[in-house]
Amino acid sequence: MDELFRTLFESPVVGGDTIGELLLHLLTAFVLGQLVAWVYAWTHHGVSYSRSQVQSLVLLSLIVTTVMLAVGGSLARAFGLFGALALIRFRTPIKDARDAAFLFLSVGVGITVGTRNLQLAIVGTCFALAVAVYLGISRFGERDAADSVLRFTMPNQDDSETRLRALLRHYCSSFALMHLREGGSASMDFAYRLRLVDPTQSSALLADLSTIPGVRGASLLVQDEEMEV
Amino acid sequence: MGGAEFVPSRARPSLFRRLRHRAHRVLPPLVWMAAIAGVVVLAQERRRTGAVRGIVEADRWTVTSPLDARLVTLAVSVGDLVTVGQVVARLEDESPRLRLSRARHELERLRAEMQREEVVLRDARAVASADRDVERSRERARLSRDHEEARVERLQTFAILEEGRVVLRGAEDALQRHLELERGGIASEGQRVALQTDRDRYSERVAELETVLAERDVRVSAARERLDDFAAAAGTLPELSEFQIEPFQWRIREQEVVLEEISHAIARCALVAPGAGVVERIVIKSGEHARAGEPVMSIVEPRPRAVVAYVPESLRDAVARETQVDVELPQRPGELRSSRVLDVSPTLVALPEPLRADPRIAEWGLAVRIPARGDEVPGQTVLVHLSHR
Repeated sequence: MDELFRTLFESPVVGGDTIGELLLHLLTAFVLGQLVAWVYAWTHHGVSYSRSQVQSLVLLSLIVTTVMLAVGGSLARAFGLFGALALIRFRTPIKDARDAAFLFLSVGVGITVGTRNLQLAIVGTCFALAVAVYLGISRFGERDAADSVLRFTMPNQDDSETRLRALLRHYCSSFALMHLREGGSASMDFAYRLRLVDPTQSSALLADLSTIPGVRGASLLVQDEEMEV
Repeated sequence: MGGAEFVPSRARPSLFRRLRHRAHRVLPPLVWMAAIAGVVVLAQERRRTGAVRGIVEADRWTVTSPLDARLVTLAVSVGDLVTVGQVVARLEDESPRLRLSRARHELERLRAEMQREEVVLRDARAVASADRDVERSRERARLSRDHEEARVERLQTFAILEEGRVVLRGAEDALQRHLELERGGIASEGQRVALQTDRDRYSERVAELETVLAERDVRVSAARERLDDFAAAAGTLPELSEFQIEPFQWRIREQEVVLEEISHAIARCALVAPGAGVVERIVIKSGEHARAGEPVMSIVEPRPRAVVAYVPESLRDAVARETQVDVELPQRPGELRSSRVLDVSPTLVALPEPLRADPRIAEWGLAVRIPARGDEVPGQTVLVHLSHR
């Protein structure tokens, strides 16, 4: 076991990176990559925003760092990498930026192992996968959007609206009117985007909403992982 | 339930619960700051020292094949000591020898061809000379004949002229006598007139003959002149024309150069050691084919010049001139020998081939020269430990 560990993780000479130096490079790439992703998310305007794109910005910085540490200054390896990527890209339709990142990670694993740099291969892969899990758990890149959509019909009365606002302020950390339509017989159809303070209180919200006189047809659409609101 | 007061059925969640549900939003900044802290810590702990690989350098020579040929004899093996000029290998020289033989035959053929051409030209010249002599004889005979004819005509004219002059003198004498007789009253005037007429006629005839004689003299002179000119113009034929022989001479010279080249090639079939040392590596073995310029073997001087270590650029500030380093030889592992850096290359240089075996090591580094002690083996890989800072 010790022999295995030495084979995999020890480098007898400098430049020959140690695990500490590898982690230094990868952490630096992660820090800077996440910074890039934040600035991208903050400055992005328009409807083409994609959370996977933002996460891929972080992942790609790590993966490229790993691959470049393996390639080093070798021209032959660089051309080999270029050829492998070109071949894969040519034959593989990539629909998502995150897919491209994982594809590149696979290629990187092949290159690092193929250049007999097992230490880099293991550390780099584990680090990249840990970051991918962290990005998934933290829902990194998710925009400050709403959790849910609330739809209902309510008569157009001041006191009803006042109570409605008080209700929404109680249950939601933020809300915004999304859609308003005349619903006939002096009532209006409302649609609000909400961010619930406590998602488990969604039923309480609906129950309290139905106590407002005239409110009918209330429905709450809660966002899940498959849907961005 | 009426009234404007809203009374919630559930209390607002506590701060803790709210944070728990939004924990995933707090996670990225926390992780990011932790990563920054990790970078700072690792950067400070980053190694500035350690061991780098180096190679023992010595003078090295490469014996290359001067031509495309098969290596028939290898006179040395790896590790043998050789001296300057020692024959270390022989290339196949059968082909050049065959070419040399062919070239010699070709040269002889060219020389024979040139001699044959000379004989042919001489024969032609002899025939031309004989024809020319015959022609000249005929011409000379013709001119002589013309000259003789002109002389004969002149003599004939001269004879007629003399005869005419004699007749004229006779006529004048007769006239003179008649005049004397006429003065003595013996002869008549009529006879005198007849004599005068005869005399005038003979005088005109003599004048005509003198004119003709003058013409004949001119003709004789002209014929003589032509004969003399012909005799003066007689000469010999030019020597065998050089331009007819020169192409053969050029081809012979070219062939001699080819012969010389082939002889040189045969001489180069014997490969000699350019320097004294130990045979380090044999690239082409006996019986294998070597292309022109391809290395056959390498010879290295047994005494090493220096140890050259290759330091990654990240450790540039760890090495400088006179920096103390420790050298560890593979034949004595663990034994460190102190030494000092002679110089550091200003730019990155490519690692030599033996050091590129480890793919984890960069292919470029700063070359750090360290003096050799003499017991290192040229070409071997050593470890150079950099001092701690």
